[in-house]
This record gives sequence, C-alpha cells and structure tokens, in this order.
Amino acid sequence: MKRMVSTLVVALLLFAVAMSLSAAGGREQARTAAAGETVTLRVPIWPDIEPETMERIRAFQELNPNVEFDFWRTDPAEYRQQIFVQLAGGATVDVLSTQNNAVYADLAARGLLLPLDDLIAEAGFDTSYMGPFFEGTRINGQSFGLPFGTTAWFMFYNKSIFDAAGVPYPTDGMTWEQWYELARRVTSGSGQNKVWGTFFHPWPILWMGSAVQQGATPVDQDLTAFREAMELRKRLEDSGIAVPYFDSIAANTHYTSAFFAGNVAMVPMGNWFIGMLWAARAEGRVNFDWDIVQMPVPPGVQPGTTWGMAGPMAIAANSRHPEVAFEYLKFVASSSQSAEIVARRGLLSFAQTPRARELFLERVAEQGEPANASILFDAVIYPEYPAVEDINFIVNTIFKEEADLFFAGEQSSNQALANIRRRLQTELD
Amino acid sequence: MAANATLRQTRITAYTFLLPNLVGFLVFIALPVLFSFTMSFTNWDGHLRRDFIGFGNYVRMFGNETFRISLANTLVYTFFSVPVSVGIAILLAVILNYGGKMITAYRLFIFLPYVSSTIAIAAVWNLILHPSLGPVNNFLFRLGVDPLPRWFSSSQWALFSVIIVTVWKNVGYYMVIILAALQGIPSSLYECAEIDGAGPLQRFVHVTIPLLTPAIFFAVVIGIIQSFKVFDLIFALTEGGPGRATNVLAYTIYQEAFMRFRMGYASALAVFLFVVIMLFTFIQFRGQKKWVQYM
Repeated sequence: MKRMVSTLVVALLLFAVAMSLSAAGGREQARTAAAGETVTLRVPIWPDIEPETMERIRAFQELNPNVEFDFWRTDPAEYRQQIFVQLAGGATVDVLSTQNNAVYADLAARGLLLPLDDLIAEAGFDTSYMGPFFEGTRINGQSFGLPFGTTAWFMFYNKSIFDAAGVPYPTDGMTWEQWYELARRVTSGSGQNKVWGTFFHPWPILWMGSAVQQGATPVDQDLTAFREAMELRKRLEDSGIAVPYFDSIAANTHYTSAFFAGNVAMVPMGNWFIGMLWAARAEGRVNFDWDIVQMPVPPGVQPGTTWGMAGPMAIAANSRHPEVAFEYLKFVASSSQSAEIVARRGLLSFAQTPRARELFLERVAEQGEPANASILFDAVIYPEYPAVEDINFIVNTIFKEEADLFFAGEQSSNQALANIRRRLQTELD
Repeated sequence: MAANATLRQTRITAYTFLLPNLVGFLVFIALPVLFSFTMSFTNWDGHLRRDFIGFGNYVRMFGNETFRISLANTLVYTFFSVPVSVGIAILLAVILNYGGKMITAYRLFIFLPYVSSTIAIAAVWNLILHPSLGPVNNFLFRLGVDPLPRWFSSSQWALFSVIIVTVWKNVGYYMVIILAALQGIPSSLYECAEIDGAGPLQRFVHVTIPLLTPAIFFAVVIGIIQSFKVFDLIFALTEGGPGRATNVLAYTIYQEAFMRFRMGYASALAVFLFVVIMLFTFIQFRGQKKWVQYM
C-alpha cells in the first residue's frame, strides 16, 4: 500500500516536472519568423474595445497583409489577474494593453514584458509626441510599453440644475475654492428633494486628484498635498454639498446613476463619460442639458491641468514575433489611422493629427453635446499614479484605507498622513 | 499462501476502485498544498523569482501590522459568530421540532439565506444597514437612538455588522443539522423521563441537550473551520474596511496573492491559517470527551 502510494506520488511529480519542462521548451523555440511568411499575433480583447481594435487591425492588415490575428477573449474586470496568470503560465500573447500603470509596472517588474529600448532605437522611432508620458513608462531606466490612448478628467455639470437655481454655470480655470463656493450655492433641499452640489465616485483618485494636479505622487517624500486633498473631500461632505462617501459605498452608487438621476449638479469624471452620456441621452435615460468644464485647480496650478491614465501597450516577453509585434505596436500608438479611429469614437490618444481632432469634433457636433468639447485637446494631464511596482497596493490599499478612516471621522488628516507614511515604510518589502 | 493471494487480489481490486478518487485528490489537493507549503519558504513572485528564503516570510508575517489586525479580526469573528449561530440554531430547531402545519415552510425560509448568493445578500444587507437611508437606522432614529450606529461605515460597528449577517446566513444550516438530531432522539427516552417525574425543562436539560451534543459538536467544528476561512462575505460586504476593521486572514491572503502577486508570502499566510485551523480542530476533538455524549 505504502509503496503504491509513494510510486504514485513520484510518478505525479515526474509528470509535473515534465510538463513544466515542455512548457519551457515551447518558450525556447520561436522568434524565427522569416520575412514574407504569414505571422499570427495573439492579442487580448474584450467587448468594450472590440470594435476599435477590429477597425485598427483591418487598417494594419491593409499595410501588412501577411499578419494574421488571433484573439484571447477576456473580461476587463478580471484582467489584472487573468493577464498575469496567462503570461506567467507561459501562454502566448503578443501585444497587450496593460490598462493602467499598475498592471504595467507589476508585469514589467516580473520580466513578463519585452524591453523596448533596443527596438525603438533600431526603428529610429520618435517618442516625443507622447510628451512626459513616455518617460513615465521607464522602470529602472528601461521602457516596456508605449502609451497610446489616454483618459483625461473634466468636471461634468447638469445645466438644468444651474438654470433652475439661477446660479451661473461653472467656468474653465476655476480654483477648487471657487468651485466649492459654486457647489455650495447650487446645493438645496433635503430628503427626497435634495439637490447635491457634487458626487465623488468612491475611487481614491477622486480625492487624490487635486494633489496629482500639483504633480504630487503617492511615492513622494512630501505627501502634504494629499492631506489637503483629503480635507477638501471631507469638507464637501461635512457641509452637505457632496453625497457622503460611505452612503455611496453602502448604496453601491455608480457615477452614472448618480448623475443620470438629475439631482447632482456636478460630477468630476473621465472623458469616457462623454460617450456614456451620449448613449444614455439616446436611450432617454438623461433628460437634462449638460456640458463639461476644465477640472478646477489648486491655487498656482495652470488652468486646464487635470489627471488621467494612459495604460501603456506592451509586448509580452515570450512573444514569438517581437519584430512584427513592435510594428503593430507602433501602428497602434503613433499612426494617424489609429488616432483617427480613436477620435471617431470620441476618445483621446496621444497621436493627435488635425484630421483626428476634426473627426472628434464632428462626432461631438453630431451629438450636440458637450459644447465645450475643445478643452479636451488643451488638457495638461498628469498620470493618476506613476508606473512603480506595487502602486496598486499603495493607492488602493494603504492610501484608501487610511483616507477611509479619516472620512469616517475616526482619525484626523494628520494621523491619516502619518499612518500612510509609516505603512509605506513597513509594508512594502 | 492461497489466503495471501486472495488478500492481494482483494487489495488490488480495492485500490483500483479508489484510484480515480486518489488521483483526483493528489492532483487537485495534495500536490497544490505541498507546492504551496514549499513556496512559503521562497519569495516567489508568481513568475521567475523564486529564491529560498527560509523562514523569512514567517518572520515578516509576525512583524506585519496588517497580519496582526486580520488575525485578531478572524478570532473575534469566529468566537462571536459560531456560538451565537449554533445557540440560535438550537432554539429554532427545538421550536420547529414541536411541529405544526407550517414546519416545512419555516424550515425552508430559515435555510434559504444559507443557499442564497453572497453577492445578493451583501447588496441587500448594505441597504438594510445603510447609515442614513436604511430601514434599521430609520427605525432606531424614531426610537430616539442617538448617535445612530454607522454599521459597515464605522470601525466600531463593521465587524459586529458582518457577524450579524453571518449569523443570519448560517443559522439555517446548523438548524437543519440539529433538527435532524432532535428527530433522531427516541421518544421512549422522553416517556421514561416523564414516568420518572421529569418536567419539560428537566427533560430538555437532561435528555435533549445531552443527546444533541454530537450534532452540536459537529456544527461547532464545521462552523469554526468555515469562520476561519471566511472570505466571500467580507469581500462582498466591506472589502475589509473601513480601514482594516473587517480585514480577515483569508482576505489578506487574497490581497497578497492576487492583488500583489506575492505568492511566497501569501503561501506562508495560508500555511499559518491551515495550522491554526488544525490546532483548533485538534483541541476540539481532544475536548469532546468531556462533554459530547454518544448514545
């Protein structure tokens, strides 16, 4: 009996070892696509990005007829876990979106992404059009991805509420203090008839935003800007202007339902919200006029400064066709065709061409709103957080948990900041 | 000789029948557990880095604040939710055991939360205990309670609120176990006791309770194991918050393994959780001799 069991264990262990060896062997072959041969690139895809990805692939294939595509269908909500398991397990994905700096940095730090510096140098590819965002992709001096699309945040407002209250609309270039005053004036009523000045979705970036606008990051030495940002958020809530933080968590309120309901005057949100509002307007779920203005800024910060996220597009370290993958990557990140495809959908990319801008504004004109759409092109965008390993934990665990206790009235902002500092020192390694 | 051959033949047949299960157990349970145990001595990052670091993860664990908080929360959660659930379950089972027309319907309603989706339960309870719009706080407000409990939104109340939901969810499961045991008690014992002059309370204390002890023991063992492993309810109700007020060991393991991909450290946490559960189960089995009565 004993012997049988032990034989079985040994057999299984051998099997496991053999499996891992064969997986490694699979990785070793490859990187041998001769010119002229048909090459297949495998890319992840999910419903939200499918139409634009398909359109982009068709445009790419017109120029590169010998490149075929194969799709790995995934779920954006589970992407962080799935892409990690896929890549670490040795599955082949060639070109992938990293969604955000956190996924990007964690993948790059584990050697799952292909370093791009040599390919960029060989191709003589000019990265300057991406501005500081390209520098932001460097991890230990090496870049592993090209940012292509970006989000940018603006202040969305319900014109009908301002009209009814006889309060002037918000304007571009306001300071947060001016904006606070305006939000206070437009707040009214109670109970069922309450009109809220604003709704902040309970993502950490919503209270961290005014610090990020000053160029602060959660890994800085000096975190004072975040304390002030936290206090602004709490002040909005204490004076009854903003929907209380924990009320929105308990009710699981989404920013769409909050704004669409028509009793919230202003909602700070990313540019993708424009497309959601178009769709909701068409479906009759939005029955008021709306527009956008620049995000209010802290004193001394250039008007038009906001925050956003550009998830770099990357090549998997075990891609079998890195050169072809890089061709596709360049096409997505920098070609005018790609920029125009994105613009026609009302989204933003770094590769701006006059034609892309026109297409975007045409799309807005078709929909009639927002009247102030041109501010999208003048936005000065700071990344929501830098590409540093473990940044997801820093922002969504350490910063969030300590700020939560401040919002719950259980610790002062100074204590929150002190706890964040202490935890950054003790919990990162 | 012949007997030996027959014995061998029988054994081979037996093991052949056991083989499918044994292979499944080895591949899906034993090997991963073994792997996880090995990984707990490394700094495995889920990919290439996998250096042996001895007891490094364990040393770090005991120095880590989040670990200490989540361990304390897990213990508080377990030692409140299990006795309260089992206690209420005994009461309900005894009441239902008196019969009545609606017994099946009541049993179904009490059991229903146990088989309902945790996500749905969490959404409903978050609304019931909503700090400003929830029916519970509206009721308490009318009674003049001030300040109102903030339930999931305050560190003082959050773990207690999770325990309330846990009891509500699990009580039906324990009730079914205990009800089955109740129905298995022979009526002759009650008759004997009655003839001996025992009143209803005495019959309950001296006949019912002792004969329920095996079922209670089973419920408590299972309950403690489940509570130590609690994850889904925490994830859906509070995500460990506010702050770390409802962070439990299994939630910390999830965060370390699947948010930070620190597989080595997460494995060490899992091994620790395993040892704690083993220890508590062992103590209970040793202790049962003192109070559990088998017929």
